[in-house]
Amino acid sequence: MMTRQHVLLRLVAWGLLPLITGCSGSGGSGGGGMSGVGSALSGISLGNIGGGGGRGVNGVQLFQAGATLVSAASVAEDDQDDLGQAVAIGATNRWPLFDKPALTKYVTLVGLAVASQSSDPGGNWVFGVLDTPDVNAYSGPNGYILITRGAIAAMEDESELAGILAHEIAHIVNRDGLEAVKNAKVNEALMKGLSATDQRFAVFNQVSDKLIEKILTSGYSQQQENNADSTGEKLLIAAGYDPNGLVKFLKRAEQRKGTGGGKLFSTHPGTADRIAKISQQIGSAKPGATNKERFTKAAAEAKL
Amino acid sequence: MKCKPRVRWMIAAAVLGISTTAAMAEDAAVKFNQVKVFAENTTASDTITSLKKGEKVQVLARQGPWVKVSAGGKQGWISANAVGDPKGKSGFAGLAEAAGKVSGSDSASGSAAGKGGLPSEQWAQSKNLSRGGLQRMMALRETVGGSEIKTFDTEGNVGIGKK
Repeated sequence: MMTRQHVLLRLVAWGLLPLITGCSGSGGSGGGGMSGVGSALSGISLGNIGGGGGRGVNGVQLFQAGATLVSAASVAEDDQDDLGQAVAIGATNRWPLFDKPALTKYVTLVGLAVASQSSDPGGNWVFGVLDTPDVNAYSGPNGYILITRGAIAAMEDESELAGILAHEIAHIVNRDGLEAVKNAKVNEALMKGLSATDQRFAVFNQVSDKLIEKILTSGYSQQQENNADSTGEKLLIAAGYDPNGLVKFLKRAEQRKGTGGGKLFSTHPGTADRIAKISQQIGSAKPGATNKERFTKAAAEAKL
Repeated sequence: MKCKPRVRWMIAAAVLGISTTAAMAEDAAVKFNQVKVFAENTTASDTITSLKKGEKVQVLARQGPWVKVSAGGKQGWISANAVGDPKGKSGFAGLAEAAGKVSGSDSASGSAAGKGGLPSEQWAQSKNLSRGGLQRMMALRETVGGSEIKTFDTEGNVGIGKK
């Protein structure tokens, strides 16, 4: 039997579907691990809301007593760790983790060296390597960073790895993921009647879907990418790495474009434009560490 | 007893330091899950414990991106970004707490939140996605300690080991 809550949930799902499908990806790669908001919401059994009898009603009373409708902005702010975890879950279900702990540990140590110079050195910095020949890297709110095996295989020293990780760390400290979804529209009228908690779950699911689509498929705006390059370059220099690390890698990746292997930065803007802007920023910055020897040893597993 | 000027200055600074710390003490709540508490205000120090989202702490001092907190009888440093609204839990935890106050129960257990687990866990479950990859990432991060970070950075002349 379909309860009132079931009907409401279906309406929520239908009402929000255009919001998600309106952001169809361009240049995305990989298979679809995400199955859309409809299935996300269907995972919440509204039978649970009413099932508790009084408790479900209490939730509604809480809502009616003046609690405001849950917004994407409040979820983006208060549940950013869960959103970051959702991105990591989405990525590791789309591509498996590259199961080489020594390499992942090395990536973590390089990432932490860069993050130590950020505005959040003691933050929750967690790293993973994705087993795909594609050349790319991704990050979710509150410190979840993933880089592809293909990207590491195309690098020649530690400053290049640090450069890419610095770019992703910059996305996080610049709050790009949260900014991308905080204004996501939520169909408020269709939320009425749901308990405050279940409203929040419904909104969280929608925001997670939108964030994953943005990060793993369509990518950030050109402005956000340019800002991440700029902030990342500052972090790279502050961490003592060769300031040319990111540029060296981008140039090589651009040269190898179309010569086989995986897709190149499908979620990032034009590489030539990025190289020009970063090179201008480097100016006369002092040389830094490349740590080529230990990179070559650690990255050997990715190049097999 | 007559003190040398330098000694007097040191005593004054020590007294001032204590009073400043006491004046700064403020209540706060942890914003994220599994927030690491470091012995010093550097990731190269040992991790003392970790704090859960919504856990109440007392902020004893602030230094740039770090705050010194007291929680559960222990003191240490955490990211300044990880402390927030002192009034209580935010997000789902706050809703569960508020619902508990209204109903007299201890959680919003009649709703989806009461099924247990974090929002991201429920989201993954609803889409039949595995959390195994995330869990392996988090487990690996736990194996990277302060002394290893210090050695790596010092040997590579980068990060906190940069000369």
